[in-house]
Amino acid sequence: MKEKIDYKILKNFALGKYSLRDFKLVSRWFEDPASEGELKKAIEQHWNEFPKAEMEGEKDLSSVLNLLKEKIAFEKPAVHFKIRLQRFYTRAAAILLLPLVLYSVYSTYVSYFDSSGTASIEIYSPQGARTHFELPDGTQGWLNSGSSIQYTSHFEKNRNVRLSGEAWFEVTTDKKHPFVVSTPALNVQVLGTKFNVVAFADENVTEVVLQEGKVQVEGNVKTFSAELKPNERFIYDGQKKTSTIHNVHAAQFSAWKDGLLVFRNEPLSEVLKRIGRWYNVEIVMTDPHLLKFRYRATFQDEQIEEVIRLISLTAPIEYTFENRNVDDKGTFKKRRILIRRKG
Amino acid sequence: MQKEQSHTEQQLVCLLRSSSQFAFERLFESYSQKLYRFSLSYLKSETEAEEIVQDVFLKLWENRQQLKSDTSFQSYLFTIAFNAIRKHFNRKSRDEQYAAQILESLASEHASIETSPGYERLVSKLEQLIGQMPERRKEIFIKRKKEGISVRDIALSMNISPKTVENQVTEAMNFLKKEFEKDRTTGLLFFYVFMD
Repeated sequence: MKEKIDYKILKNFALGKYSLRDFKLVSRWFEDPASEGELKKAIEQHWNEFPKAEMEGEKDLSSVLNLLKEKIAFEKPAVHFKIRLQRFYTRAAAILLLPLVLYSVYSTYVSYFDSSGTASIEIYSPQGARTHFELPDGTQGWLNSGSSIQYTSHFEKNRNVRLSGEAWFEVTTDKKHPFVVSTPALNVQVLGTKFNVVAFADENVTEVVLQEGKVQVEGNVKTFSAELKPNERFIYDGQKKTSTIHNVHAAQFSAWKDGLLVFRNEPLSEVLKRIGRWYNVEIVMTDPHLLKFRYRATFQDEQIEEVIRLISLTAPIEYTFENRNVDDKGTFKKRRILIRRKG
Repeated sequence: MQKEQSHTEQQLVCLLRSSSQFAFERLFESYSQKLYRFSLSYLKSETEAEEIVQDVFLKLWENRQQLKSDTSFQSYLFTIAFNAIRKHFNRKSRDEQYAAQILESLASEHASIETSPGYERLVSKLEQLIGQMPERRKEIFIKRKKEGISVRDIALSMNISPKTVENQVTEAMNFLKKEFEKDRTTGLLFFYVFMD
């Protein structure tokens, strides 16, 4: 049954001046779906009359804002555990040594001539290795494992780099020649700055994180364009065709170049593969179903035993470290870790 | 000095659409206080009013891409707020039905309870009186009146006879009647009636 709404009763209710009878009336207006339209009109009138500021001082809502900021920052839910432990440098140094050796040994340069006669140069960083590069204009950076960049021999005039995978750039300032990083989904236009780009061919998501300076991100089909400020993370989802910008600590996203193991929502198969390369161990997984578990984690200065133990805390796995075997020639084989389903 | 105030609401809405956290925070600054006090006036609870502010702004963020710059932002915000307040209000009034029912049954004795504009005070007086009851009587009374559990089930769960349950509820109601009567004779109810 639709009832006429008495604005005065409603307003007095809001002011705290109401009887049991008024309370029953107001409750009915709120509850009855047939009154919703009229109730909304009445309350909107009240809202428009309502003062924006109050003399009596403000309610402290900073905790609400902080909670909202947190929710916004973690819009993409994922299993998330971060292990950040302050350890002594001695321990860090021991573990950093291996990747340092890897990147210097594995960095490979491939170059060939394309049809137009200009040389195209590719720098490729193999799986598990991080490769430091320096471009003809003085720009430096790091390539993460399994990533590559390509550029032409006319690079100083045309500062265009094609990226597949993940890379960190520290671009030399040259106002006459804009520096452009191209990926299939988007281009990043730069003056002089430090930033991280992720664009793996087998992933739908392309992301740009800016640490210093200013970059312009432009969609390759011109569906979006955004200017990033430092500590902003731009994510383009090629499947949903959506782009978002979050505030982040940019340093976290370039942590890999400093020897941190960073996993961002990656399947256990990938996590174990990378750990295996990072620590030069052979990891044997007996249950293929477990390989689909997704992980988001950062390991800093942890030894292999600790990394595996931490993973076993959040996944239904058990593990055994085998002793290193010696082959016929007397050399040590890789250490083996067996992983199986718990129980 | 920079022109801090140079962003109009329309510009902020445009920025918000492209996921600007800066715009989001500015809009929170300009509307959260009003929204809080407005919600508080209907829900009469600080925690719930804070929840409304949180829910409304979270929804605003989630739907930022559907924001239109030509329609009024205020009325858009109001619509989200209205729906949230209505939802909270209905849940709350269901939870507080029991108080209205008890007061209503007392109102048959003195009609002023029904019409005195101090309903909020009557409810807190009622809560206070329930709190004064002996432990076991209070437990039985709350189970029966607030949680709506049947006499038989209360008897079974507390391992007492249904007769005892009924007696305790009657005792409790008599106590409330007597106390509200005291109020009336001492003129407190009179005060409710003519307050403001």
